[in-house]
Amino acid sequence: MNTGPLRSAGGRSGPRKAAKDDGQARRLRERLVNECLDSIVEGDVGMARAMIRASAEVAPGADRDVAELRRLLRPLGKAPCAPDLTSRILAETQHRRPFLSCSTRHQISAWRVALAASLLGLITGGYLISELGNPSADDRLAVTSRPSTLAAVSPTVSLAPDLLIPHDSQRSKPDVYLSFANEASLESPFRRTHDVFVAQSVGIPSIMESISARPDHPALAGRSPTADARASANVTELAAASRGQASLLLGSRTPNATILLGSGDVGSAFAHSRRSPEGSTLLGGFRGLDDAALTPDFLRGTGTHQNLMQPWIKLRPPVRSRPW
Amino acid sequence: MNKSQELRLIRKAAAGHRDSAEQLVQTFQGSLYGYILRISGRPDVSEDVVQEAFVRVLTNLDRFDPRFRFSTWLFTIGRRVYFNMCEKKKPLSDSAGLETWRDVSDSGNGRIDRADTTTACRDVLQAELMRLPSDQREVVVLFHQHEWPIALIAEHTGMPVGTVKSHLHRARIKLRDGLTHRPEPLGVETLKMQEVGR
Repeated sequence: MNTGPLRSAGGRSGPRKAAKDDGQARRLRERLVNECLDSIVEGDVGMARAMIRASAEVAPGADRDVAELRRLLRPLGKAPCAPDLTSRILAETQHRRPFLSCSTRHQISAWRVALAASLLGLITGGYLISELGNPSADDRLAVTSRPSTLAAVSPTVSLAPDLLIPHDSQRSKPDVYLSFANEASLESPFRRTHDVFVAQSVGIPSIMESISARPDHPALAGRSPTADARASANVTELAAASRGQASLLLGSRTPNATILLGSGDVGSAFAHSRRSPEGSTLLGGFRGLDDAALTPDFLRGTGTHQNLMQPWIKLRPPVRSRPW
Repeated sequence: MNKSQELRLIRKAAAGHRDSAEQLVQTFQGSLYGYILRISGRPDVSEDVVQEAFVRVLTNLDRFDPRFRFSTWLFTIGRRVYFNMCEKKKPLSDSAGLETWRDVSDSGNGRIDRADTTTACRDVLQAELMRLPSDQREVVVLFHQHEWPIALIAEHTGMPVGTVKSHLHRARIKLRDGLTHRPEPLGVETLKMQEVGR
């Protein structure tokens, strides 16, 4: 067997392999030294020691290399002596954006405090005015129990010919609608009385249609020809509240809900609805009307109310089992 | 100075308080100067950069994000100022920078004063630093001089953490080789003398 080439190859590869191994060992050691130094500088000396211990066999003397490198780089940790540039810097800063004197700073602080205080006062004042102008629904209901107010409003609503009462009004149904439509809309009333407990209607057709078209509230009662005794009986209590020029709130309490009829602008009516008791429903409001304008003629649709109607504002489902 | 003291000073300086601004400058100018001097090798450039960086910082203190350290913000601005200056002026080469460094450090007769061993060591070290590529030099300075964590260096320089580590490792090897195999091993000798002296 001719082994010459193998031997010669082996003879050449031996030193190459050894050199390669040396190179690998050197790289491994350098890498270890670097990792250790990273850990030491970042404060994890324990990790560095553990690494050195773990690799003591494959990279002997790595600890000496680490110590040597640390020693060589130690002067780098000392910052060079720096000239004092403070005066130059402050002078240049003063030139670009002047520092403020003590009195000016105090003036600015005082102005800021005054501004904040005035803003706070404005916000508080606005809130108080709005609260005084729009008392809560509970307050209003308490106020409306005054006999004079009730006496003034009850006949008005009781006389309205468009007060609608379905035949099965004694049944407990969840949805109560208070809407407004003119006479024309009442010529072809929507009769879905099985869904309706009570409804009152005065106003323009589009509103009725929009209400009745709602799939989740499909009910709108038919028309009662006159405001009869039953109608008056159902309007068991009227709640009217007005303070000064504030809007008027009419309430009709039924076994299942409170119907609130707001007069005034949209904002005030909406505020009423938000403050109304749980289970109340507010469907419409009159814009620009005060108590005096809410006359029987107006409610009959003979007034000029059509242009004053506000669209549907809000509907909240009443509480079914709430006792009144 | 802890972070709350730092923030208080910054707030007062931002409100136009001169004394607070002065205290900020006095606290941080040394470290910024050292950083710029190490990466530029030129004291004159460092002074200009420190001045410009501080002026920018002091006139924009209201933009400071208190989630970070003031020094990080200052170094970032200083670094930007330095690179802008480099682009505008096309500064001297690294060797020229080294010469400038030596001019300043020498005791006037063209020879390093051996009595000032620390200065001499730093000169040798600075000479080796200036032989490094600028990326490696900056990483080494931030890590070993200012002891910034690698992650912060990566954020500051805009390099990935792996790249920062790689720069750091290569730079150390070059520094070690340069310092130990120096034809005129002044720095190492002096270092050894220092060690023996301790």
